[in-house]
Amino acid sequence: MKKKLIRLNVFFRKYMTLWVFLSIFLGLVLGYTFRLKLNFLILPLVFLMIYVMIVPTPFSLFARVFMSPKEIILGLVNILIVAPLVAFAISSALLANNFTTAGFTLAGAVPPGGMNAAWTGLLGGNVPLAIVLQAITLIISVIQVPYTLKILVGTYVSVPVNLLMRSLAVLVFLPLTAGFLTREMAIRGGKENLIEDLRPLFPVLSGLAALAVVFIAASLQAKKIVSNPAFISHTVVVALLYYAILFVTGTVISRLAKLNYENAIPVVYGGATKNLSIAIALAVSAFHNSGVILAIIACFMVQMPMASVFFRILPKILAAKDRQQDL
Amino acid sequence: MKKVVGKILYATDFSSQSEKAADFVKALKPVCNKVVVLHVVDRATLEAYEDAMLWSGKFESRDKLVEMLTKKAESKLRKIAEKFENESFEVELSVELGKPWRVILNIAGREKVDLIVIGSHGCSQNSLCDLEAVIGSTAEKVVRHSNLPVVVVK
Repeated sequence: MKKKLIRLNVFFRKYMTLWVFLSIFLGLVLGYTFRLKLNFLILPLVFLMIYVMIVPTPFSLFARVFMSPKEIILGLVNILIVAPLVAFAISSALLANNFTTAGFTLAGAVPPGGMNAAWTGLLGGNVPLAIVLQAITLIISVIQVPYTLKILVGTYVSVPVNLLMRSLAVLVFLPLTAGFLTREMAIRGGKENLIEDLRPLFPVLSGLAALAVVFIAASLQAKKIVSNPAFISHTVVVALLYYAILFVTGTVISRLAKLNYENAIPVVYGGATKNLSIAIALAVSAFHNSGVILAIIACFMVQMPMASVFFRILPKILAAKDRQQDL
Repeated sequence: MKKVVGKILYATDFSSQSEKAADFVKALKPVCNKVVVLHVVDRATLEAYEDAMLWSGKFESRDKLVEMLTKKAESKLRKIAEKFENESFEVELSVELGKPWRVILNIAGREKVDLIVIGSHGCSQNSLCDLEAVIGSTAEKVVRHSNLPVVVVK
């Protein structure tokens, strides 16, 4: 069974960028034609996405926090402070709409998604560090995301801090607890092999849930996007610039802190590959403004392609630094 | 003159504490000249990499992953070995898969070493910690189960 699941996994994950664009396209077409109102599905979909991300994560990984405190702190600074600051600065400088700026800031403030560890693994970086950063920021996000938004965009738009905290508590703690309990019960019940066998299925399920969230978000905004293509294209250009700057600032921070190549990769990618499904869920539940959701859709369109571009550039920059240090 | 310690097993997880432990081994040069440099790839690391590869759609098999992690660790161990060789140590390298503390004790027995040197990880001095938290769970188990002298470098 595991071999078949691996084949399914490889096929599905290989064409993820294509699936993202297809979901947006289908969301726009079906949303425009049928006026779909599927926003009630977003919460259970994000629950599924985080739940399947946590189930295969071994607890012992968290002891690694003590092994590399410097890298953890730098990762947290890049993910929690630098990313939302850059998002806010770029979008408020280049966009006139305060709600779109709030959307970009929200996209920058949420924790990294499972793809951070994936990019880290592909680039030969420190994967356990990526997973630990992902888990810590997921937990912190319940407090950090609402207050980051309040501090950065609170004077321009109304930020419902309590509602955001409640939504995040449901979005994060429920699946996190359920995921850990499932793993623990499976281990105690001698069903650890079942988790092993199903391991290739988890990223597929998580990816499908994320695609469904993108589809729903696009369908909800179909009318606005189709009637105003110039606005969305302008927002996409800002998103391109935002991710480019984010990769550069992450790289500069890693170099200034003298991180080695392995540890620099999850720090840089942690800031630039965020869990945008959480951002969409928060935008739909707490902000009743299309500008917020449109900004996150633009980030969805850009995040993965930009991560692929920097996949080729970053090793040359960061590994060159390591070689210089060795000399 | 016969060396007092003879052969040391230096176990590293490539952390900064492990680097400190390496400095301690180098300082033992007057009493020892052979060192076995060991890295253990544990299950959590293997699973983390397996997950990452599954998320990227590039996972082939666990054997290939083990091979990749072993090569990666060997290349790091060679850099450490060079530093020991510069200090005129005789160096043997070893990368193993398993529970770190068990593997460390097995290799110590197989290689007939006289001393085990390992780095610690732990919580701050101000917080209330048990032995495991202070020196790290691997180091704690090595200390608890070893018949040989063990130095844990903080």
